[in-house]
Amino acid sequence: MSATPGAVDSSIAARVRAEIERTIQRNIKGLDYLFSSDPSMGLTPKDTIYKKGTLQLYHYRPLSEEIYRVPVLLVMSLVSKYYILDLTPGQSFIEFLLKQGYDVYLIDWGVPRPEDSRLRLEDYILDFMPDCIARIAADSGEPDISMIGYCMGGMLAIMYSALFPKLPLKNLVCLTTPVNFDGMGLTRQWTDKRYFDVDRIVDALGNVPPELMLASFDMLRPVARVAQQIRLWDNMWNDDFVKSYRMFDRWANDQIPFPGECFRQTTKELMWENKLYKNEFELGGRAVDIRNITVPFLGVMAEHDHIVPYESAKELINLVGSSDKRDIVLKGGHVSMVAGPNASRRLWPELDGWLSERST
Amino acid sequence: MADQKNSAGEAFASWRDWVAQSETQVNKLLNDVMGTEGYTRILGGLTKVFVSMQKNTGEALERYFTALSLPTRSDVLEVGLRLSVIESRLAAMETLLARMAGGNASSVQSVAAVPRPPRTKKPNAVKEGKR
Repeated sequence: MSATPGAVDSSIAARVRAEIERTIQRNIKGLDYLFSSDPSMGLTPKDTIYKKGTLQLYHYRPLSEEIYRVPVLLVMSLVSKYYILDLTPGQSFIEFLLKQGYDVYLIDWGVPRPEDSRLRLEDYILDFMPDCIARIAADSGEPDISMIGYCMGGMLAIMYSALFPKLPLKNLVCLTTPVNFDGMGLTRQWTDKRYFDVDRIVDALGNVPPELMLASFDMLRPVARVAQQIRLWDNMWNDDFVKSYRMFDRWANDQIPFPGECFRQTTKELMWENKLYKNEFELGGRAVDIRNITVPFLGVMAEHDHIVPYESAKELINLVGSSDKRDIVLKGGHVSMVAGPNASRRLWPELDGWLSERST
Repeated sequence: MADQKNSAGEAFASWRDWVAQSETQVNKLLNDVMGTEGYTRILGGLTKVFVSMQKNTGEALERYFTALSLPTRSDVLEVGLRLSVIESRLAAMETLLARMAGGNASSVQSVAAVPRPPRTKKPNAVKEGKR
């Protein structure tokens, strides 16, 4: 059977009509886009239960009638804003966890002030994190805790878990967490110690400016911004696409400074020497041995992650000493772990299935 | 006929594919160039220039503000640092006072009035198994 010429003509006409309508909508909504403010994010109701400098420890108000015994602590990266985990109702990882019955806490490191340039990983791992975890135990009345670390937050969670194996950590989840810095691809190449003078940067600037961080992320995909603008124009008629684009775009551009001393330490000891992977890394004179982690472990990686390449994250599961361990490799990119359809349809339910069995 | 319908119907589809493919190819091409030692050397040089400019500008402005008897960035940072120390001490005192009063040792009080649900939830698999 083949279509009659008349049917083909009407089909073409309908599609042309649709494209014309889209073009009109693009123009109308394009004007709206230019004159409207950015969408609000991070709105899931929460209470700040602890503050120290720029650090804030949030407790999210439960959204279910009963909750799992073990509270969950989300550890955010030092170099990005926490609200990627709480974009908007229906697209929020935190809201998902709350609706599934978890008692959720989050460490928001805040935006480092100039005086925070002296902060080192020791401050985060040996001081701030234990402090926050003690506060959570006091607030929840539960000794146990599960940790979910995203990106560099996963690295902080690993270091903490490796250094304090006797503390009551129940489960550890690492989302796109770098551990083998030889696999960091272009980022490693660009920080080659022969050409990259980290001392000069930190000594002169203190904290690494957000513009420098943003430029380095942009360089990893040099034409991505142009392509995104084209896609935005193409989909300007689609309210859902535009809303989603604006949220991601705002987050991606909302970079924060990297605390200077921490950047120096990360560059020299992790990026250049790869000490964490080689089991040579120390904090406060104590060895950070990832094999000390024996709690149930879930590692999640993205196949097309350009910020934390798969190569730099894949070995983590082999390094942890847990007998109950599992990894998940997703098709998406860095942000698709915690936001977007890939996360909400695939990863979050899978993560919930794994964590719920271990949260009682 | 069906081919004609498809090609005519999705006039923009091939253009969209082209955009996606071009993005991947150009990114890869540029990344190949950016992955060379020469690029890293140039990038390192540019970073040094950027840092030196920032440093020199900062120092020049500092001298300028000092000459005008105005607070410089270093002065403001010094005040900020002292404020941080005061904040930390206040937080420690709050914690101590809360402990002495027998309350929660938190520097920022949580909304205690918000009721917490019971910690009795079981995973769905367990619930289904019991049925």
